[in-house]
Amino acid sequence: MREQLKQYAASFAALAVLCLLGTVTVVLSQSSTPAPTGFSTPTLSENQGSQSVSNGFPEPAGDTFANDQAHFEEQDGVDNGLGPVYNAQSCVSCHQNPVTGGISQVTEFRVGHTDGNGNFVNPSISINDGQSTVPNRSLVNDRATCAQAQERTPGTETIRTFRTSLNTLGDGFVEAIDSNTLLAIANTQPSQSGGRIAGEFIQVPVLEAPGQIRGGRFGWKNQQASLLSFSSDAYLNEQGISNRLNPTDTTTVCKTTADPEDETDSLGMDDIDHFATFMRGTKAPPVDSALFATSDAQAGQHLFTAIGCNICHVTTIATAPAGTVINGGAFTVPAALGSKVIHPYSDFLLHNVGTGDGIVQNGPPDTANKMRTAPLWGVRTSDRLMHDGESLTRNEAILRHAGEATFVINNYRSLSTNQKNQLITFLNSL
Amino acid sequence: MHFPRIRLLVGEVKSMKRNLPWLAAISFLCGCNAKPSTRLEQPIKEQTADTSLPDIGTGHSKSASPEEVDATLQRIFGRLVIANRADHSSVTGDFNGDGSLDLAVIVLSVKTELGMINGELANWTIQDADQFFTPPAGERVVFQQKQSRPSVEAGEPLLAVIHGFGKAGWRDSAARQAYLIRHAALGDLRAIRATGHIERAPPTVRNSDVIYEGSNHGEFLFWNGSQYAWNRKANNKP
Repeated sequence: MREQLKQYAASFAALAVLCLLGTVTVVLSQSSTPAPTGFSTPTLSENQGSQSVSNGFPEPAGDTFANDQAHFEEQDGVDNGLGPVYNAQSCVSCHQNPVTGGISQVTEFRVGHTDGNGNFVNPSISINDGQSTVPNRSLVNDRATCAQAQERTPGTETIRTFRTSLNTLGDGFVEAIDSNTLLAIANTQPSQSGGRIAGEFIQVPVLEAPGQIRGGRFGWKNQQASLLSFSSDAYLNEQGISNRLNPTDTTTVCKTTADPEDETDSLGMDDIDHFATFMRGTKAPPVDSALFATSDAQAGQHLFTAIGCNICHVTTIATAPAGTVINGGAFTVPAALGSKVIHPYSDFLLHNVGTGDGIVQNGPPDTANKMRTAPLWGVRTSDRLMHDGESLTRNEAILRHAGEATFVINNYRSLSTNQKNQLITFLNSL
Repeated sequence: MHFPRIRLLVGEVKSMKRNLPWLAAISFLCGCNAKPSTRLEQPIKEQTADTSLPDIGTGHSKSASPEEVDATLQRIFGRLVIANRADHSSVTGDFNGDGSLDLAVIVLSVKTELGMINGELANWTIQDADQFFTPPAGERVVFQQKQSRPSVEAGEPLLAVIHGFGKAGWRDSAARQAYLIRHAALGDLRAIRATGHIERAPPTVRNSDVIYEGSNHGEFLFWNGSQYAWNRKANNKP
């Protein structure tokens, strides 16, 4: 009897140890680990994606990361819905440098005007010799599949701006940031800056979850919160291909295909699903590790924080834990994206730094002259800076900041030439 | 020798071996292989930080005394430039449309300090009001010429523009965003409110002031959002 009790006690003790180990394992699996980084999606004209490596994002049944990249690189034509008005034939046309999904120098054109109260108003642009109108849209497409559909900016649209294409590498991690994390950053900025900096957090519709909203984080105006919504919006507005979330084309002039033009493939996925899956599978932009390790870059990194750049260009953010249901219930963060530490150098909030373009999209009217803090990860691959690409050197871009950024930039002005060079070396290592 | 403690441990190990299968099963259920628990992204509460734009206003006197101009130039450029003392060589207005009063003043570069003025990491931006690309009307395909970085020449008259900050505008010690503009120092500066005067107004001009100079009544200098540039097509006189 006593022996039996001993056996039970021993078993119980062993079980307790194993349970403890199990619990520790779960806790460790939920604690944050660095997100994988790398420019690992080389653009290939043939056999697309064959050399590409994803971040481990789980592919839908039958799908592969290479297949998703191939869709991202696919050149569309009129026969499968391109246009009638559009900017480019593929995602990769604008998101390519230095690899598929990166940035580019390609800009899009937006216009509008203000009403008597100073509020931004979207234009309605006549096409087809005035017989048709593209209503209520600030984007003006630079191309059309026929001359009659070409959009031309009326003189009445006095607000005009170009916007550069954005990087999408690592955007799966950005999508996986809990909205409350972004809000918390916004709420701490005034105390970090003596009340001089206050990023604006906006919530925008999640197209795949009708009636649901979420913290915006994609686009120069934070106009999208999910990568599927972003894919759908871009497919319609940049390529002119209607899809299940934006089912009606911009115009019917010269239109030869039926809406929605994005079709479901044998895997049960539309193109927009492949685009979103590709972006979710990309690694975060890597630093130039050799340059990053130099003493100048390290000193620059210290200065970056010391003078306050990091208040908006937030250096480190952790994504939501795996299993978190986001995008209004439409997406669950997988282990590959959950609890990952990223270094985006952005707060993904809207700020007035004196460079606003006057355009309002999904935010309230006061966002007209606010832009999303440009994420600086991968900025070394960009030679045209700020939202319009008008700043051509790092120093010019820094000095162009005003408004909320004034006191930070004045700190920069107070640096010695050597220190400025160190800071720029650091930026060039990102 | 008798070691009851060791015997107990040996017994525990033996019993563990016997019970290994069900121990493994329970530990599996216990959490070693548990999936992460599902949680919902929590609804957002209201943003507590005030993100409204400051009510800047331009309540200060528009006129700039020579002493104020000198002090402002000294604050930003040190001794690298000298203010022109001729009449109407400075003017104030909200040139970049941010609601804060700015200062524009004609200056001369100090010949011996050109290296500092043109420094790649100088605290001001050198621009050329003539080097601004405007796509010609009526042409579908236009090639933009690559332009070199402007460089100030010895003794060259320049228009220095200091953007204001907050309610005190250019007088605020934090107002240090500055531009040295080539080919824009004709003299006889006048600031005119853009509203009602400008056709084809660029984005930020609508609620800001533009600068007329000299006898160029049909032309004005304006801020296009990133640069000061001449508008050569204006047909409204001040």
